[in-house]
Amino acid sequence: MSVLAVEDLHVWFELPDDKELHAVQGISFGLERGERMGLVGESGCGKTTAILAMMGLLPPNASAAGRILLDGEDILAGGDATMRLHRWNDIAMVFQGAMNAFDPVKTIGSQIQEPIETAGLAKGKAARARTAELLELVGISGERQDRFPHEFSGGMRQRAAIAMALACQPKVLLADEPTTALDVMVQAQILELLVRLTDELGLAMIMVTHDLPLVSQICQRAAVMYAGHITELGTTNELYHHPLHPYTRMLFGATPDLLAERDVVSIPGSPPRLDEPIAGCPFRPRCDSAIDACALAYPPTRTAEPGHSGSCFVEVSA
Amino acid sequence: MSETLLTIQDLVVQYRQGRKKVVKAVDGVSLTVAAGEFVALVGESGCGKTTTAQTAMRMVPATSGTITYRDRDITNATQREMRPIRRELQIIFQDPYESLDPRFRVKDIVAEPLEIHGLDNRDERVRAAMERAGLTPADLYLERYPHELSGGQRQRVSIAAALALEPTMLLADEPVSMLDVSVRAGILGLLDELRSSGLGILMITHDLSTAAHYADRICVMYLGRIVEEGPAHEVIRNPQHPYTKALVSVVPQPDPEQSMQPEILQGETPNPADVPTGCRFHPRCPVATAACSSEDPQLRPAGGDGHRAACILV
Repeated sequence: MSVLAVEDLHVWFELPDDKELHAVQGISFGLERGERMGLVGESGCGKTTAILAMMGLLPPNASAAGRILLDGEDILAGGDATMRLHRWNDIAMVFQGAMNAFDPVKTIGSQIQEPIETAGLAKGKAARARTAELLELVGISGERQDRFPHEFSGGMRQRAAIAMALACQPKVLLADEPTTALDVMVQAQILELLVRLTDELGLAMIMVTHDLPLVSQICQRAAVMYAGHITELGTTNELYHHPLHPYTRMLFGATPDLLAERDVVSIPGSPPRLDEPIAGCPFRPRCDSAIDACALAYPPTRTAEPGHSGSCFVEVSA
Repeated sequence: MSETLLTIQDLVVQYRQGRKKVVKAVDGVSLTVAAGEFVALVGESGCGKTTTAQTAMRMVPATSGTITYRDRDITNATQREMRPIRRELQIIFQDPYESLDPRFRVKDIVAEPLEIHGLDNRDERVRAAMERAGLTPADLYLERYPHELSGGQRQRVSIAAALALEPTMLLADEPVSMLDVSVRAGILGLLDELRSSGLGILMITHDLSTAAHYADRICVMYLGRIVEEGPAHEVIRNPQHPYTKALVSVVPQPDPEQSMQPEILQGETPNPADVPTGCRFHPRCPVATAACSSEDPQLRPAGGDGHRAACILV
């Protein structure tokens, strides 16, 4: 059984003037224990909103529908009370820019200790020891827990943010752009850490990023999102070598590759607004292989082989 | 050989920190950019790449060394003396969300440099610059405000404002790092077109893949020094300095089957206020020898075609 399964998840925001923004439009996927999955796409395609829904941390003007199954239990149906029970304990998140979210006047250790004590896992000395253990786990000497955030480099603060997310031993870690704003070498260190943690702890991870090569290198599978939909889902190998959706192919085509000497081509236009209904396939205006059918209806999701599916009229059938 | 536009020679930029401490942000950098050449200055945060570019614009004063633009020494040029140079040498900033005044229409943003420099035929020049920057037809954009534009379009507006003065060279400081992947290639392709039309381009970036793709030459900086430079292809395919080798090895490849052998350096770039003795890279270097902690290596030929590295082991 998947440790996390999302079924037909929708998220929409109520806007002023009776408008609605449908940010996530029915996404489904499963995540196995110890698996690393990428959630990729451009800004504004619904990636972050989707994982905030899994954490039960959507803003007050948002609503979610569908099923979010954690070890088989629908935590969305249970409402806030159920969400609160599982948040941090079973499903945890490293927020985008988390390394800059530490309170500058409190020590790193005291900020990691706080959730441990709140969750009632340990108190006082034991909580301090647990904090040291967590810091060691992410490659920081436990003795440094009395340091303040400004005494840590960006990379170390990011490690501390990961330690904090792991405080209550979750099964699922949601990481939102965990390496943006970090230098390449520090990025490599953090990626190595995430791979080690998921392998050693059997932790399942969803990594949200716009950086495809990153996902190719550390995730087994990825879901590509566009305009609130998952347009393609498969192993990273399938996505790179046999993409089913033109968006996947064009995203790779827009990404420079250090060693390959091919042309890099940007995708024309930009993602559609989601506060107005879209007729047909939302990618059609930017697509290089659209046909007449694409203007009429959202393309059905078709499976090319087990675990690899895409939603396109043209390429899936080709 | 095309005309050399920008020449930076032995540039040192230092700041005082407190009473006694001196921070050398740039510590002896030399580089040139010729007309029609695309040079990338690559390195991690704090290595001095942006300071180097800002010194060339006289936004930051040089402590020592010389900066020459087309045979005019501008090292100590006053603001007034810089005016004609700034017409020729324009800069594009990293963040098109922050660098455009939200109260100005596109036409006013692009026309502002023309006003400052007292040039006429502004309408024509604005249109020409916008079309050159890929904002076509210009009429579609002239009356709009920055918030009505996408990130890629905003960066094109910045480029159009730079092009309005018909410069001979552009400094681009991380021109695409704030933009979505899908539109980056468009902006970089535009810079490449401008290079083909004869402009010199100096791009500051931390992204080796981008540098590899668009630059003719790459200079790799570490802690205030250029540690390796050469033709882009050579530096990426045949890196000589251990730092460059490590950098190249950690760039994620889009093909999952291209398994990487990342050589991950521990720690972070040391503080420029506390530069190690000898080779400044030696404390993190995987192949450092005893000599590396005392001997400060200079750039020397490594391979052909102007490929040079600052390492005693090459």
